[in-house]
Amino acid sequence: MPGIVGFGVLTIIPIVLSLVISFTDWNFLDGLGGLRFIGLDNFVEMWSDNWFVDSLKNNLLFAAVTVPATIVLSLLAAIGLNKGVYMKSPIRLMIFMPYVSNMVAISIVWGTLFNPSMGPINSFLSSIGIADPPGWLASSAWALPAIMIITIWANVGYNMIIYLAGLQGISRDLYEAATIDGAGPLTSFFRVTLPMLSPTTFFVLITSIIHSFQVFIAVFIMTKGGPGSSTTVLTYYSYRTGFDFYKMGYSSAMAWILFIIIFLITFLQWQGQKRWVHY
Amino acid sequence: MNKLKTTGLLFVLMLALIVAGCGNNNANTGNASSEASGSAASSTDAGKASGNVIKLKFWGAVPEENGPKQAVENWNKANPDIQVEYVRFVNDESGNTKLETALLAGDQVDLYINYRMDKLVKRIEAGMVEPLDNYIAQSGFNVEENFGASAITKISDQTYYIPAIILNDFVTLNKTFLDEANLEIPKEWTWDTYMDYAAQLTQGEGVNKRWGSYTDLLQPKIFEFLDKAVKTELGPNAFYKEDGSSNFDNPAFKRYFDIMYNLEKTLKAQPPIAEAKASKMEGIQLYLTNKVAMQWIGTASLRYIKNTKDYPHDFITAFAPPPKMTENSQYLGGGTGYLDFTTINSRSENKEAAWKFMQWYVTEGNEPLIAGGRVPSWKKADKDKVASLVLGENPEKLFDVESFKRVVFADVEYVRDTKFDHLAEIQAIVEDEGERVLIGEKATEDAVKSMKERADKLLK
Repeated sequence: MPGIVGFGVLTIIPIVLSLVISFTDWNFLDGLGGLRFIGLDNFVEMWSDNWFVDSLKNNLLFAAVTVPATIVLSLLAAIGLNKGVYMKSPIRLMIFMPYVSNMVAISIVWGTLFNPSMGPINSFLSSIGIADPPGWLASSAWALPAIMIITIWANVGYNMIIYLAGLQGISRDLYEAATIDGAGPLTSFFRVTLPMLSPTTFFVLITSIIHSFQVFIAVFIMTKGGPGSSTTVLTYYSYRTGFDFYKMGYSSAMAWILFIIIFLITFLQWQGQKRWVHY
Repeated sequence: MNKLKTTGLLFVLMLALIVAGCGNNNANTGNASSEASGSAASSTDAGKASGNVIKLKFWGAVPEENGPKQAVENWNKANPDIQVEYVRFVNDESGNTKLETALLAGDQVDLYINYRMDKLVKRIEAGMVEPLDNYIAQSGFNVEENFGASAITKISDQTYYIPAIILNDFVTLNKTFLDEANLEIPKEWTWDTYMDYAAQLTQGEGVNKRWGSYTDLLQPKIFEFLDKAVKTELGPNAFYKEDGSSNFDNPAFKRYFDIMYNLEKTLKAQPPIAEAKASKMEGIQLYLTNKVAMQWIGTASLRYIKNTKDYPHDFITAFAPPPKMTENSQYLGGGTGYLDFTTINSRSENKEAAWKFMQWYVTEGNEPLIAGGRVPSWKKADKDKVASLVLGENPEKLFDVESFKRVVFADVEYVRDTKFDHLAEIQAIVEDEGERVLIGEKATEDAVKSMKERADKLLK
């Protein structure tokens, strides 16, 4: 019961209030007296707002790249570590480390690594003969990819652990049977490992997509949405409209759009899982 | 059925909580006074022999060690009955949000300093600032005599703030490099001359590169410097037209971005902004290690130039006024102006005491801050003393004193904005489009056009 009260006060009430606020034009400095209902205006206005549309595009692109990349990489890492390798635990620790590190610290360190003229990444790239290495955070074409790289790097560890658990759960018997039937390593990977892992993949997919829409810290610390609007994402833009532009109503409306998008995607996945998830 | 009941119950509970929550909020303003006075009374009961000690909290953004701590100590020593505590917030977006949240939540903030007029106006509109007219009348404080007739912009006919300082805008130049290149200390110049100087003062490549020009103290900013530059030409409310639409089709805006683009990309005399930001360059550090020849920033740099312990250097700094857009630019004080807008929180419990402190602070009280370059706006401050405090102990070793006096004590008219419609969003638009220009992804003409379109959409 105390749990429910806590959840109600700290989560449900703010959520309901934000829905109410999203139908208003409210500068939070004015206090409750400044609350003015404007119906659906916020939800209509946003589609002609460059920043909102750009944020939405960036978010979708971000999800489309980071989610598959994280899943493939973490699966590969898990399979590699599941078989016998030397230094198993140090490697596992190394891959998992970024996930438990503070994202603010990570962003600052990567900001230095990405330095276009003096950073280690570009020094390395030019030393292997790339004449014109990317400008990373200083270029609007490369800033979003730079943030994608960090996000993937930081999330592989967590998903790898989930996959490792999934792999441990697959019975040896299945592989034995496959070998007797004449399946090579590749066939048994695609016919045994992948299907048996599908519930794990389903879980990882859903959480990764939700996570990818919540990207904020890296953007806030490293780029502030720039250059131009190239790294502006919904979470960051709605923070800005709320606290820099004092438009709480508009900000809440965008947060609700974000919620609806995530909800829809998750809903579709639950519908689609029957086709490919084998329990 | 049971489930339904529980959900229903929960819903009712939620509603009740919402109502209670809102109700509380409203009542708070009323209750707060009695609570606070109660706690004040109890603290006096427990405390000092002197009897009625009032404790004030004073929020400002200048780091404590650069003067405010000394100022507050001076006051506390002389006024045992009103003890002031300085609380520092960082003057950036999140720092200002922190201050505003504290004001909203009813934390103790008795006085606070505003560093941007548009933010101050927002706070006044939200009723967070106490009008001072009654206090001024009661205490017989002569604002005009102390600060001049044009120091304060009245808002809906009321006085809400007093500016404690004048912040000076100027260009600091490395005199050794000027002499090497046979260039004079400019007494008045246009951006064309500035670009000329920058090109001539740029030398070397790669790690040994010396940049001719740098803007800002640490990493360059777009909006603030555009604002300073166009004001020399356009005067107050440069971003707006008479009819309320935005002013970005005025050639001054395109001109500024052309100048910056030229400096960064064509002349390569100034670090490209995106790179400076990405690599966290520090302009003042570069200037004091001979890697930058001219720095356009103003007051803020003085503190570092005088700090020869952390930044040892052996050249003399000369001063030039900020460049003009065109030969006939009239508002030379475009970037110079009143600042440190000191205000009293309208929800403070100790407004009388706060006003007492404020009268002192905006006049003689902020003397410890002068060394950091914050020239008091108080008319009665002794100019020679101010100059010697600003320049420090060995002015001749560090500064070209003649050009300093010429620039800092120039008799120029300051520009005071009165219109701040959607300014935060306009700033974000300028930064968005401006970055595209300076990276080289958008032509200045197109960028200025987009600024106009996007800003007009907001303002209509």
